[in-house]
Amino acid sequence: MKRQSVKPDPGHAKSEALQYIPVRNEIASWQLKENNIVLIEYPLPLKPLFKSILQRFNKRPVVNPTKKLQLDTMGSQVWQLIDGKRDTKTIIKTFASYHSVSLHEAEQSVTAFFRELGKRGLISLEKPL
Amino acid sequence: MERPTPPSKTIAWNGLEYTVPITWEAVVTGKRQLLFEDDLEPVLELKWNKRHAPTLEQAHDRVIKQLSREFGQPDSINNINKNNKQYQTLQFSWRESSFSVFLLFCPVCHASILVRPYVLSTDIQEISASLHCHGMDQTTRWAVQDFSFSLPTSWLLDSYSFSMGFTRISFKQHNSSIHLCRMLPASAHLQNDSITSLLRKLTGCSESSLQLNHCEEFVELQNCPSIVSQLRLRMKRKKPFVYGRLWLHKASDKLLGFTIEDIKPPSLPMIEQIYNSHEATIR
Repeated sequence: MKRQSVKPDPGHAKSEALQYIPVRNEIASWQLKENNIVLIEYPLPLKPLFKSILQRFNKRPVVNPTKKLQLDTMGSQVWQLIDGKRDTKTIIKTFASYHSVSLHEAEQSVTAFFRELGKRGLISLEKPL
Repeated sequence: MERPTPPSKTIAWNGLEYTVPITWEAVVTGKRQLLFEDDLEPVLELKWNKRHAPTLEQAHDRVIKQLSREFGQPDSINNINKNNKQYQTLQFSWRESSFSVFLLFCPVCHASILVRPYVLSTDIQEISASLHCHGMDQTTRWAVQDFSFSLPTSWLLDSYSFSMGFTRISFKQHNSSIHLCRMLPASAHLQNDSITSLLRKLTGCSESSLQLNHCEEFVELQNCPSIVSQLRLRMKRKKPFVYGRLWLHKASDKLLGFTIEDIKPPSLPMIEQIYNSHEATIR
């Protein structure tokens, strides 16, 4: 007999996800530039094979190359809202009030930004205590 | 003593109007699908179809297939038609996950509306009392965010986009298309661009296009190509006549506008009808 699958409740999953707290990764350093623009510098991960080859030709220990990422005005605002205490929902609400947009519009924008930062390893989401 | 009625607003999307508390936000999840959220928490989902099933029984058969695919076979189906003159109502329940889905069937316009409440205390009678699926006149009202407009029913929804600060809803009818938009905050959009250049970007009109009307808060553009250009554009399957209007709604710091693409010059009464119905609502 074919087993019937029951989809998880999307409402519950979303509510839970919005409670997670974004935390900046300590390996990334950042500075505030003119017009409140944030510049992030983070090391690029090197594959162990490349690292060992480089090590063979270098006398000094191999330092991972770094990459710089300059955020736009909105991204800089969100980055500064990430303090390890505010949860995703609070950040979305604050962002929506800054730009007078609806909560849903802010949610789409902020979560897409978090996804991008997460892909680069610049933030992680921590479960609230 | 009567309870004071909480402030409400009407959400209108693709033939369905629903009055909801003012704090609720409607999220468009499909051409005939809306999700309502309160403080970013989902509270209710509506999915509807029009004229697909002439009776409640046929609507039931269609819905049961769809629900079985999504949630599995329901454990119980109850007919709860008590005191409901507007809709015939069926309740589908699942014991394991303790939630219900309701099918509201309108015998007048044969619309079948699937209601999925995310809050257990939801009263289906209250929902059905504030739902409207068929209008009296030949226009359809659209009000999903903080702006609304009306269009003749012959215009069909083609596509939509709700990115942050920029909303676009497009409609089609024969060889014409209308794109309605809302931009906010207007002050940020107008920081780097003038209202005319914003409209040029929206319409894709070049500098040579005719500027019909222009002031600081209102601009109107029309592309009137020569016969040769018209032929060339038609051969490229493009619509030669492009009209656009963009204006500033100062009170809510929004830019509202619409563009029309057609194979013939758009009619002035239609332009005025859209303009007069397109309004911003202050959140």
